[in-house]
Amino acid sequence: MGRKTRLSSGWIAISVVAWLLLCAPTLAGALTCRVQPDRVIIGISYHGARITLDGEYSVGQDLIVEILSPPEKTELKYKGKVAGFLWMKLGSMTFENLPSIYMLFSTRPLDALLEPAVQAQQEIGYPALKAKAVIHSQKKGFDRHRWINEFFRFKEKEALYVVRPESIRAEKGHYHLDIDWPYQAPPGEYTVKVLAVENGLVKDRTHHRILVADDGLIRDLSRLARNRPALYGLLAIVVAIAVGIGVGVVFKRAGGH
Amino acid sequence: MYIFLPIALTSVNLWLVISLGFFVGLLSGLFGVGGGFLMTPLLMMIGIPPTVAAASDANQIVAASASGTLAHWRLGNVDFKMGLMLLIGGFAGGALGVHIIKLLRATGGADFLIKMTYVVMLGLVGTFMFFESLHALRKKPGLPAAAPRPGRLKREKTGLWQSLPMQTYFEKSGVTHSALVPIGLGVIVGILAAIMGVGGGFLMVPVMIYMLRMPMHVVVGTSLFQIMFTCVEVTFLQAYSNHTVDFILAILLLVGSTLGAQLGTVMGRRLKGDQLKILLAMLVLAVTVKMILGLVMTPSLLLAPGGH
Repeated sequence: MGRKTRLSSGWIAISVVAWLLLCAPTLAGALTCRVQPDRVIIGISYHGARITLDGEYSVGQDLIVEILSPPEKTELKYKGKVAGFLWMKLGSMTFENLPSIYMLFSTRPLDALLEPAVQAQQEIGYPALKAKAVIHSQKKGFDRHRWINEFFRFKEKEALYVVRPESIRAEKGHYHLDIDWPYQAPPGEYTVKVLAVENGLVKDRTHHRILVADDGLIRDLSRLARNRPALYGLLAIVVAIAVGIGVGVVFKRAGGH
Repeated sequence: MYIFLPIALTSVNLWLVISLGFFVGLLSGLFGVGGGFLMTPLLMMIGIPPTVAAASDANQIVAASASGTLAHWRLGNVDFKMGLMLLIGGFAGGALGVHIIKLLRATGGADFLIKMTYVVMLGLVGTFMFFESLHALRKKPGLPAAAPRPGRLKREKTGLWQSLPMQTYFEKSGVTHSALVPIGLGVIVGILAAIMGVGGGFLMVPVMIYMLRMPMHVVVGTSLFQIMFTCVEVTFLQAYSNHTVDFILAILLLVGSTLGAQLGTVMGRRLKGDQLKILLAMLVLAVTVKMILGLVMTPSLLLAPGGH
């Protein structure tokens, strides 16, 4: 009887461990994230990249993916009307404490997943960016809300700010997201945040990073222009004159004149 | 096929950029203009930042104008003496213009002045050239209209300009002027070009035709010679001070523009002076209309990167 009981207990223990192993990805606290590739190289024929995010999550939860660069200062010109009908650049406007890149993906619209107060507390979404932003302008008495929205529109047009709800495919504890990484994104390190949400609360989170770096001729020319501008300028002039005269000579030989 | 530009930090279609260069190079060889007033907005339309577009365009104009100058020099169409005097004036005027714009920026409203100067100058030059050429084509279909009219020559000889010192005969152009005239006109064009942020070819060409009375074929070659040096200066200063010259963009543009400039020169030889002028006038007027529309139509975005 005692031996039988020990055998049963052993089977139960093995079954529990097996169940735990099988179901591990779907348990709370098991949020994972893989980013492929997580290193983007800018070469001469670079035109952006396709980045894939995938991982495991607990069934029944929703997901939010946020990709952003460190906050920085951006100086832009603002346009307005002169003499009632002419549109001109009237002055400068500086936006501080906002990332140069901001991407937001989710399984459902953000407002359906988190209350505005939770979004603000977790610093997720445009309203949270708005709250942190600092604007300096030559324009007197400007409408802050309106100009931050204009900033978002400007960034969206440049493909640097992206908001795509319902873009994450999540099924049976596995999620998948394809991102068209914009070629406009400058070299740098970007943070990937993945949040698992349930009943209006953030239950789990993990993060990763994406490194974008230039290489080869692109890196060498960029460094030369920055570090030795006089040599770079002279090189640009000499090559231009040589090509111009070279084409002229070729045309003459070919009977162009 | 896409190419990434290291300074503009953007990716562009290789064939699109080469074609843009070819088109503007064609105009350069045909009319003796650098094409900056067309190329910079076109580059901005394909996503190049304005400052990089203007600086890299100046770099490619060096190649196109070197190619065009060589082609016109072989045809005997470059008045080096006149070109050098205009260049001296242009350099001085350019430096003065840069200071004027700095003062205007400090007091505010510079953008308004720049845009309005641009529209008014382009509009006036284009309209005048268009009607003058149309009139000449209708009146004397067989004669090259750039030839000075006897009545005007007489007036000029007795005018104020002829009483100025340092009278010089410009053999290639077949005109006599005081050396102060091309230098002075160079200064004025240089100031306007600096204020408007362009090379000044489209202003210099009408000045040479209508004020210096130079024949059209010499005007084109001489203008290209002068533009080449102006753009050498601009390229170096932009690369040195602002780091805005994108070498790869300039190479792509100049591959197209040097070929275009050669073809433009060949085509120009087959057209009469007034036909060339009326085509240039139409181009200048088209740019003016585009600028006016850009000024009165509500922009899709109310924020823009820096620059004009």
